[in-house]
Amino acid sequence: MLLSPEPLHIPDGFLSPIMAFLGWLLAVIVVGIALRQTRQQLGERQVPLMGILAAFIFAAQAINFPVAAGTSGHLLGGALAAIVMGPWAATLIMTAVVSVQAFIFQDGGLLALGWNILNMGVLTAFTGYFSYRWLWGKIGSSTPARVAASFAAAWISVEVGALSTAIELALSNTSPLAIALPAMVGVHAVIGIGEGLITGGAVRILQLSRPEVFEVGESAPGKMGATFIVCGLLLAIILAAFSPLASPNPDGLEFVAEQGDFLSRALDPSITILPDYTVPFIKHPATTTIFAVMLGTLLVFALALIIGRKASRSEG
Amino acid sequence: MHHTVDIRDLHFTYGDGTRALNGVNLYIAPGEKVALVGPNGSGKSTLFLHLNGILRGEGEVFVCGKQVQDDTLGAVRAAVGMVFQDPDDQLFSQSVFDDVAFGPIYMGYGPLEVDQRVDRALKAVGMQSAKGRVSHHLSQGEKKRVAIASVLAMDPEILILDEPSADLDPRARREFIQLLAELPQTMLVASHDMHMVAELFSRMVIIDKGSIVADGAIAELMRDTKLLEAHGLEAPCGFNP
Amino acid sequence: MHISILDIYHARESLIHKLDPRVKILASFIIILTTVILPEGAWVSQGVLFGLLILLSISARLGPFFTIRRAFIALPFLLAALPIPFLTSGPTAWVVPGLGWVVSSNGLIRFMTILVRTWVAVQAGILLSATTEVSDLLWGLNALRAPKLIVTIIGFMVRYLFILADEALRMLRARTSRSPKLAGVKRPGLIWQGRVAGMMVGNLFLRSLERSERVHAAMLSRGYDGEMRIFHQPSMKNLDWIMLLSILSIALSVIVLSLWS
Repeated sequence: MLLSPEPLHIPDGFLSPIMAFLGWLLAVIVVGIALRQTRQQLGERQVPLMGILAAFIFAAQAINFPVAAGTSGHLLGGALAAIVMGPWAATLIMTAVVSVQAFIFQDGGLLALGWNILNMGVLTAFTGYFSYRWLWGKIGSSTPARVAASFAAAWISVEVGALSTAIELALSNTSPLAIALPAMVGVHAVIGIGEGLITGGAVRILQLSRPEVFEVGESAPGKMGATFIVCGLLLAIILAAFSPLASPNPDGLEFVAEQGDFLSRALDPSITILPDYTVPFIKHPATTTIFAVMLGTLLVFALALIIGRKASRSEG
Repeated sequence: MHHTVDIRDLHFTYGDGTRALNGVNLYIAPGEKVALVGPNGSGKSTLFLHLNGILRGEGEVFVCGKQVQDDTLGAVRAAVGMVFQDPDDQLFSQSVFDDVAFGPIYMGYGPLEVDQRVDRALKAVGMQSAKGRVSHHLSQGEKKRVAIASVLAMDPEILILDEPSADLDPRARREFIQLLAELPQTMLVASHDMHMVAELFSRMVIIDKGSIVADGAIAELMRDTKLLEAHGLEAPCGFNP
Repeated sequence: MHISILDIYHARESLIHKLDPRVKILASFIIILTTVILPEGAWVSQGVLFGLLILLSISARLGPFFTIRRAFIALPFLLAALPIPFLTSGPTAWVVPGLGWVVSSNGLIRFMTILVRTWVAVQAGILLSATTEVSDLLWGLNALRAPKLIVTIIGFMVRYLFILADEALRMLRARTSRSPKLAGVKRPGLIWQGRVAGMMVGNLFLRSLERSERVHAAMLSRGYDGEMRIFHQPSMKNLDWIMLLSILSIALSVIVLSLWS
């Protein structure tokens, strides 16, 4: 019952050592910033509040509701945490949740913890937060608007988590992008509905009974800076994902095309896989290229970080 | 020798406009054991939170020779042993030892002194064997004892307890009352448990709607059934002063 | 009515349990890193790692099958790797009857490698959490330079996990008690169900918020000033160093072994 039902916890063995290291590096940086930001935001309340809310998310993940034929909808919680507490606090909260799940329950690997934190903690929190704020601004400030905005934000957050997980698996040569992407994003499009409904429901009850709780999230620090960071991270991941396709080696495009071919001809029993077929990421002569691209995106990311921090400091 | 508690004309209003305390005056001398009774929402807990500076109202609050203000908070919180109603709020550390050591550690004592204080405090409440245990595994009665130990370790001048006998089964309650009877510190206890109040205390303060409506000998006040009823209270049955 | 986090740590009188938490954490990482770094198809090396874990499990007085039994948690995620045998080029190992899908031997090796890696890694994790109390684990992480703040936050999380999980459980039970399945009556729709679940979550959130305020007040009452102080624990003993170095050397030799063959 305690195990998170979301199939986003990447176990060890699915990510290449380089990817795992990269994930840890980025996670350490982002969590470090989150610690500082929330300290400013919350002061001494920080520790008991973050801890108990992390316990809340964990417990809330057990609250389900029947969707169809024995399956149930659950909560991941990153978007909800961000809507109420702001993205940096949500990052800390979800980091605690994901870490406990990894270390104590082996739900998600230890080497993969870096990316798991980023996928389920950082990306869900930030995309959820920004979708919510943006939508809410556009739709209006009534309760139904809030609920609708949080539904959409929660759904988006889950999709983004799935997207990045698929890309990380692809970059590690574990699961080809053309299969992982639609599978992950597709499955989570449905799971995201559960996330959206629960998040919307929670936001609704909070708005009706204690609307002042939203003030924490609304006055959360570093909105501008956070935008840079999130966009940077997403951009970096997506660029890295498609870099082989952008490479001079045509294997990339050929690979995707053949995948499409393969899938459509799967039912024809007389066809076998073309003998000269290769999975490009494995036989790619330019592992160094990929490395270089990753390094480059890391630099872009770092740049975004520096600009972002300056921006968030200037607005306090 | 100074007072232990000296509250003068204390007013407090919550952020949402609720007037919680309306000109409260209270004087407690060292060694006294005082019961604070009143209906729910009368302001008992709010009053307590002023005694260690967590809430600040208008008026003057003196505790153990110091006025409660920003620069005295450390000393005040060491002198005031506040025990909250729900022991789970108070036992927030990883183990019993950690919880009882928390106070002394923040007072700045070294490891040896901390160890000694923890041992003494646990002994005073009869929970020495629980030192290494996780508070989650304790019974409600045991938790309440450890909660008391967690403040005893700071050598407070006054123990302030909020509804200490609530949620206890009869045996645990009996043991707890015995413990309170044995502890030498000055005490201020908020309780609905009129039997316990009659058994342990000689002075009773009645608070209602943020004001003190009566303050005197228990024997007298318990006889005044009209007064008690007017403030949502009842004398314990069979009470014979 | 207690949730299974209490079943994770298995107290035993064993050398492994008494090891410094830093050693256990590092050893786990070393084993996991090794299994992931080993080249594909390094079955002997992986076998040695697996044997090492069984050995450790036995010396922890947990029995040889302890970690194996609990390792099935990672199975669902293996679906993600399922396409690999079909999409990797190489000599044909097998053809799926009726569908004509070809499984290459390379692909099979890749898939099995991932399977083994995941399995070894999960078992290392299980051993770590079975032999190390949460408070020791957190201390160990802090001692290994994990940020004090995160470690303390996790400490609070674990402490209040049961309490909040109990509250959630009670809400679920209350909901079940009020949700009879009546014959012929249409069940309430998805949106309504989601709303109820959302309400429970929102409620739980408010209670958690209030709880954290009370805990904060209790902390202040005992002198908390915003700085978390973590107790010092004894330093590494000889046995700790021996253990750490042994595991490290086994890991290195296993890697060398795999490169050789």
